[in-house]
Amino acid sequence: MELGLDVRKVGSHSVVDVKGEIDVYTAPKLREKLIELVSEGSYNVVVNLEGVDFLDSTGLGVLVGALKRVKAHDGNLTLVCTQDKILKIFKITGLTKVFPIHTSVEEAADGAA
Amino acid sequence: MLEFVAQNEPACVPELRRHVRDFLHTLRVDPSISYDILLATDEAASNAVAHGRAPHGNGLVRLRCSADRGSVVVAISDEGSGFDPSAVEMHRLPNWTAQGGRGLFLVRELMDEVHIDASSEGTVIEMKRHVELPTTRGVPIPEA
Repeated sequence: MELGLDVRKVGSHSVVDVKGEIDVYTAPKLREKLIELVSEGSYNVVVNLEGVDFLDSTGLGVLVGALKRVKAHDGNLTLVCTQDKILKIFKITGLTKVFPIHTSVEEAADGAA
Repeated sequence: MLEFVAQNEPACVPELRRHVRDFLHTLRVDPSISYDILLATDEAASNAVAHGRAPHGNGLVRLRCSADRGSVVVAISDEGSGFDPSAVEMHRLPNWTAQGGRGLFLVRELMDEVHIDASSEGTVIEMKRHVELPTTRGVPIPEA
């Protein structure tokens, strides 16, 4: 399955709407997009995972890498996710303490300033 | 029993997941347990892609999946040069800043039993998850 990546601006935030499955096959595409955003000066990024059907540890690694990049510029990377099956991998790996996770893009953009 | 063989490359991972998803769907495994098994399968297969390529050429990844009334067993094998399972931290998470090293921890958390058999000819990760498969009850034949 192809990974869908759409980028839009909400206030001062760059929102990446992700659709599909994030795994070892598709994660490089997400990594490239997030690196591109940071290199263009977007340091407050919201990754919307509501359209994601599957996420594995390779995908987590990409999000961790992006979080480190934006933090290096005093920015932040927040997530939007309400799906239990996707939230579970963040809980098991303890990354719920690392990523701010919101229930909507609007909430993420408000809270991630 | 499901068996599938693919070239060891990233594209094989979603393909393996699709086969396991169909297998579990046919068995009518509960969707949340099915997702756990799919994620564990994905992590084992990703491990094979990252670390289990054959010395000459990519080699193959093999999937074997079976079920009885109480459990589902998934085995992923590769043709890499193997690794020392005792040297792998399956019980401890890496620092949050690490971009890898969570796969086998997840496999251990998601499945009930995990066995790793590594040799110079390849690695087999066999994972078992207890499941309650729905039983098909006979429909009584109405009396005439």
